[in-house]
Amino acid sequence: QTTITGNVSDSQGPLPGATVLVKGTTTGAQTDFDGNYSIDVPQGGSTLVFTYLGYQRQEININGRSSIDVTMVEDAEALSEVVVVGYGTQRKADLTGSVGSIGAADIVTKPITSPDQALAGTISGVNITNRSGDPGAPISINIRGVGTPGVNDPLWVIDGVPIVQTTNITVNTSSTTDSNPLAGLNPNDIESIDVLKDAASTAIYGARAANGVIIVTTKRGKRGDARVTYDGYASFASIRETIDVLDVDQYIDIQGQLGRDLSQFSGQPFVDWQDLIFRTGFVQNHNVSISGGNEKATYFISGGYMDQEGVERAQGFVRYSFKANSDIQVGERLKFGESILISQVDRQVQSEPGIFAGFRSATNAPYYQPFGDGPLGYNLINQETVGQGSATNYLFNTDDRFTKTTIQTRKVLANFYGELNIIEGLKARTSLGIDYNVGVGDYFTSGIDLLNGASGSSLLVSERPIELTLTSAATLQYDKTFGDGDHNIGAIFGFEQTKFRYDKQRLQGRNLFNENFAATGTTVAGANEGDLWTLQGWLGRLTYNYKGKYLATANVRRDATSRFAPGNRDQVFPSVSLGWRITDEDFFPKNTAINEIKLRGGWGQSGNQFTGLNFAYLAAIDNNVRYVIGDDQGTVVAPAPTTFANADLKWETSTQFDIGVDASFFDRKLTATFDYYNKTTDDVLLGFPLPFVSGFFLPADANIGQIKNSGIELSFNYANSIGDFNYSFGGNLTTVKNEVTDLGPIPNIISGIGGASTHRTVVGQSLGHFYGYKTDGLYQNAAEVAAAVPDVNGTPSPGDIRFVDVNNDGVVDANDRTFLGSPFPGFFYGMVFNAEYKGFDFSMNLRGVGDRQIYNSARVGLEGMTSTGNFSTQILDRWTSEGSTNSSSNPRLAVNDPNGNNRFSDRWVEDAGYLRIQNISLGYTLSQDKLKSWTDNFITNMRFYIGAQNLATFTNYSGYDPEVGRAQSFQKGDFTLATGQDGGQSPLPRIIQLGWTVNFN
Amino acid sequence: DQLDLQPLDRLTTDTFYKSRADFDGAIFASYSSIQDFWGTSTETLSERGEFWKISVAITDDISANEATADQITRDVDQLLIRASDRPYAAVYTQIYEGIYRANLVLERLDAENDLTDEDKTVLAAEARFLRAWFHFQAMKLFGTPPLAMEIIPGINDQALPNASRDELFTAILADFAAAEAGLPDVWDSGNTGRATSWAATSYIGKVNVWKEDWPAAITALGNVVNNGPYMLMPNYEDNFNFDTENNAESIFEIQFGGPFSDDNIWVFDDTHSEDFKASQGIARSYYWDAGGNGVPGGKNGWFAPTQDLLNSYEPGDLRLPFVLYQDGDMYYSYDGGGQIELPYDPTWSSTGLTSSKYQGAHNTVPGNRSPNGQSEFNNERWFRFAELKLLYAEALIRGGGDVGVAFDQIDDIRDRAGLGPVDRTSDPLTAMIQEKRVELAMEPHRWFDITRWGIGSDIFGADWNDRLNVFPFPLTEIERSNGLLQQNPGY
Repeated sequence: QTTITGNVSDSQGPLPGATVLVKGTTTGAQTDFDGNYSIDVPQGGSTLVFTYLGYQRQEININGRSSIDVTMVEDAEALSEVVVVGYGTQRKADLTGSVGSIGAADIVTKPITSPDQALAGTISGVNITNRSGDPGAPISINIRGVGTPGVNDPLWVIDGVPIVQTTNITVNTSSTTDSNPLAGLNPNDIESIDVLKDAASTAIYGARAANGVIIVTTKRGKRGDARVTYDGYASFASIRETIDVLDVDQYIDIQGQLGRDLSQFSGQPFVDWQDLIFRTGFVQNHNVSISGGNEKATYFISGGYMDQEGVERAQGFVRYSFKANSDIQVGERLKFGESILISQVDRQVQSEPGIFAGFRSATNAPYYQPFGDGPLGYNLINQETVGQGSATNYLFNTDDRFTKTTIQTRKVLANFYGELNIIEGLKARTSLGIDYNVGVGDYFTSGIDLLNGASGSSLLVSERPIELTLTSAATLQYDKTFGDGDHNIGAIFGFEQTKFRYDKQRLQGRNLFNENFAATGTTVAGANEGDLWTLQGWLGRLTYNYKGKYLATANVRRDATSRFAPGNRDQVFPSVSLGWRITDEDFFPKNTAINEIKLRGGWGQSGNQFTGLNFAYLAAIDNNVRYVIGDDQGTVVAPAPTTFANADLKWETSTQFDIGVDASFFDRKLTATFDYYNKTTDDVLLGFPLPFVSGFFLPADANIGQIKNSGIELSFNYANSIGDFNYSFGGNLTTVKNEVTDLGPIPNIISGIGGASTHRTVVGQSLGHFYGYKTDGLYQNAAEVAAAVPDVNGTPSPGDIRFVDVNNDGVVDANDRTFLGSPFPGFFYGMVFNAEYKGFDFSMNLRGVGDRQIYNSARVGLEGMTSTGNFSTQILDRWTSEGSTNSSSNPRLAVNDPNGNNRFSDRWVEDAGYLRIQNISLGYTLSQDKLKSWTDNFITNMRFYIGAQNLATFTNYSGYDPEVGRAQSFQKGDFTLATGQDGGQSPLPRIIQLGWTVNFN
Repeated sequence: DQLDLQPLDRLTTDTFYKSRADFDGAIFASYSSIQDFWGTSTETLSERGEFWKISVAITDDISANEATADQITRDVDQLLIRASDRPYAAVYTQIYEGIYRANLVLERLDAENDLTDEDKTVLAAEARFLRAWFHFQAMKLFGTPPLAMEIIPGINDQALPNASRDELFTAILADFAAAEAGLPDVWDSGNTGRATSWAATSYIGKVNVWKEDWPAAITALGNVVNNGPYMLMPNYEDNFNFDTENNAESIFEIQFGGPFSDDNIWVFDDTHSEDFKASQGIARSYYWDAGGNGVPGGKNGWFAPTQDLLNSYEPGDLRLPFVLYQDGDMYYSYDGGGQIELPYDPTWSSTGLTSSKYQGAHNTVPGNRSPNGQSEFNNERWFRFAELKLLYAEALIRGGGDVGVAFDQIDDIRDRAGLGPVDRTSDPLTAMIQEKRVELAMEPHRWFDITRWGIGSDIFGADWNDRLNVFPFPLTEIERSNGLLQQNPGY
């Protein structure tokens, strides 16, 4: 036995914590804070192996020396080579599932509010849709299509804590007060986001993984002196365009033709109300982080502040966040650590009277002046100011002095872990995760009199929701290489339990004595809500590879939930996947342009437990049904079930098959990945539309039918340099074919926002597609009208829309409604360009969505020519005489619309494909050498940049923004079966930013 | 067991339905479905006072205010009736919700509970009264609606076929007969508003008028007129004042009260999770009071009385001020700040008229309004003794009874209105029809008489189509019944 000492360093200096191993033994050592090591080499030991994460592995023959110094070389691809998978990491080379990743570089400095926005256009298979441009509004993420009409969110796992995403933190019930549950996370703290797309990868998350899994890893400390980084930017957010509306004379003329005499207002100044509500919002974001540590302990601490004004009045978003991560080694075998996020999000949304103020104000009578003799200096609404026209003063309705709605979320998201190395290769780990959200939602209306003369009375609605998710896990992990490194096995086995609890108090007071407290009202009411569930899972994984050439992974998870009746609570979710690195075979020609080809194939199952209502299997009685009885006319409780109890409720199961190829060419300058996926969701959890004769009009939660999603994903990246000019470009494309293949006994599901019938789900077509009448131009003359097929919903005249008798039965009726398009895209794609030259850097990110339609319901009022409000200038092209136009979008003006031209038809459904410059930035980094000498080594790095998000959008869509989720309703949540309706939501802002990054030593 | 959890904010059927109080609550739930006929909900169906549209706005008494009324109101006013429209789904669903809740009481009466036999008799009678009442409404609206006589457990077995008129009459009359036998003549003051034995008898009479079983109708209605506890109130307006609810003229009345809590009228149905939304007011003035720019009170003014209705009143009719406002009247409304009083301006309404029924100076006061002024607590007088007297008259006239007695019924009503007796040589049926129109103006009866009498084309002329004698079943209901429920002809 001999002792060898030495030093390990890299180009920057000593490397603490590097591992030194005697090859073929379990004898090892780590370098100390100065990079020094000492190792006892047993008899027969001849080679030392040096490893350090992010550096190339080195094997050095001892050759009788007693001192060996090593300089480690950074592995350029090392970071991208490790991929976070469920409950561990895997070398990307060994991966057999389909996983997409982005790193911190793709996230920091972008003007985004929440981490999900970073996924826009960056990873194949992942599509995001913003519900509104209101900062902090929910965002839908769909991975490989839409597999269920219920909860479609992927499972987010943040530093090992699976997040329960809810829209519980609201005030009031309008969907516009729903908030993005991820907005409390500061994107700047994120090291990487890995998206598990296929079931072979997700099955280990079992019950909650049917929609894919997104794993977020936050930054952790690096050994060495404290390094301080500041990132910040200031920016301006504005909107793309407004809608052209009629001027005063045009409006008076049109309303005159509709039988309303507004001539008294002729000559009044024109007011474009949109210009009063939309505004340029100021956005600023500042982050400071500190990282450092020694060989025993490392830490990362950061603080962030973000303030984003909305592009409409009464919208705002402020986040304060604090993050602390640390890892502490105790002795040789024990390690502890934690990651803690504490944040507060203060969000202001438009109050009920001001919802969608920007769009809705477009329909104001254009002569209605904003300011006048009314309360707070606004103009009254009466015969003198508006007459028979109509107007709402959205300046007043978005004025904080009149009404204000705020939603505050205080979040603690933390994970504590302990890890014990039992023997070489065998590790035990336990962890406790906490996700604690306290909401403070207030809807306030002051006692100021209303502009129409009605008296005001003050009102405060205070909601105090609390959510607590506790996740405890224990895993045992074993990794072993034997047979001279030919056989590599890994195994993990564990248990995880998640307990969720939600409580809400609500207090409402009117005629307040103290406007800060609802309980000081003369009329006060309170309400409570609560919910809880538990999920318990056993999980296991086995990986094996032979010489890195033949790869295999098997996962299994058994989950049990409290959400279903005993007997339906357990399910096992298995998966297997195989890989073959064909280029490692002896027969594969070497030294060609092809560096690597890996074939992958996987199959697996995962589940979904979320129905619309917890305990939907139990016959539960609501006690908020009431009646009035007795001479005193007192209110009495009248308990009754309001939902149908379905005792047979069980898991929804998604089965996915995936084959893929990973390849690299031309000295790895070009890398490419191709996948084909086929995902089948069985026992789909959906709201079964009961016949009303059942006594229930809410749908019953049930497992019905089957939905299929299939398609391909393609992505590539090419990186090269010409002298000092480094550049890369890449792209990705995903296709999704969505088809409902079975609906059990349900002939179809007709759905829509607020009880409308605008969407349908039926076997053989995509989920929740638009469903209505088809149009075929306009009747041009009396002869065409006379020849018209009778229409049960209207009587045509020349200039009216010809609705198509789709089923050719000689009458146009409800049976002629048909498929009008789908709100879910048939394909989506992203492109990225990066270039760097002598300190200058440029990057651009494009994103597109195609084969997708949107129901532009905002247009119904603007172009319907029935309301008393203002119209879009589009109606100036309407039919006026034979041959003037044949466009179904431009029927004649007709009092009371006797032909039903405004019914839901393809007139209102538009193609909403788009290509968008998602991000673009140009930066300059100062020379590090000069910087260090100028600042006496205090500042090590400095970069300035200008950037833009959403700079330009190429689309034929006529509304504010083609990327819209859902219209406003009083239903919470995603509402998948009635999505894709543009009711005039705020458009996504165009943000122009000026930013600065500095690193201090 | 960590996985064996119970809901935090709800009870389950296993633990409920034990005591008399439990069952009283369960039966009140069935009554509460009637409140929702006029409900304003933003969830699922987005109903906005739908029953007014298809029972009142649709008649010749009311015109939709073109400037302010919603599209459905305007369509209904034009007799544009579509199976896909909201009112039919809204009212249909409330009817069968009420029936389900009555059936649930009947089912649970047979399960293990703490009730006495006497309790069971009364509760069963009351549940059957409500079940019959709802089925009768369904029959008047839809002609041949399904009979839902028990709770069906299977999720795929919920759809039901049309019932024939005979089946409906048999079931409804059997239920009302059981109610008549089991219900008390009168409830104590703590239970005012619950159905009584006399109400059941009255309905037996009314249903038999619909069945045109004149002897049975005359027997039942005559029994109520001669032996019952009811009388015409001295003043017509007592029937519409919030402080003379459940009076001696009222046979069946939908109770509204409060404030349980303060809030707006939105989401006025039982399914919403927000407790505070379960305000128990009715949004009558919100839809009926004059509305539009410049009218105080922030109301909608959807429904406007017609000139034709005004013309149908004889000079000197004392009822008119309690039916509508016209030029020269003082107008009363209410907003969050209190009563509004100012001269009526005919330009507020497309017909120059606005309803004053259930309104007026007496009712536009804080005691009858929610703090925000949007909803009011006045009961809906669904079945008044005045209507019963006219039904009695009709049965006598058409069933070959004593026409003199029939004239007496009409004269009693005219007398209260300050009008002289009907000329005994005039056609009694015409006199009854005329009196019924003016006495029950804007109460939900005329449309169902028009369709029952088959006089639609006389009133609406070329706009009439005989399919209108019944409404369409909701399109969704047809679609969800998988062919079991047949749509009414012409829809």
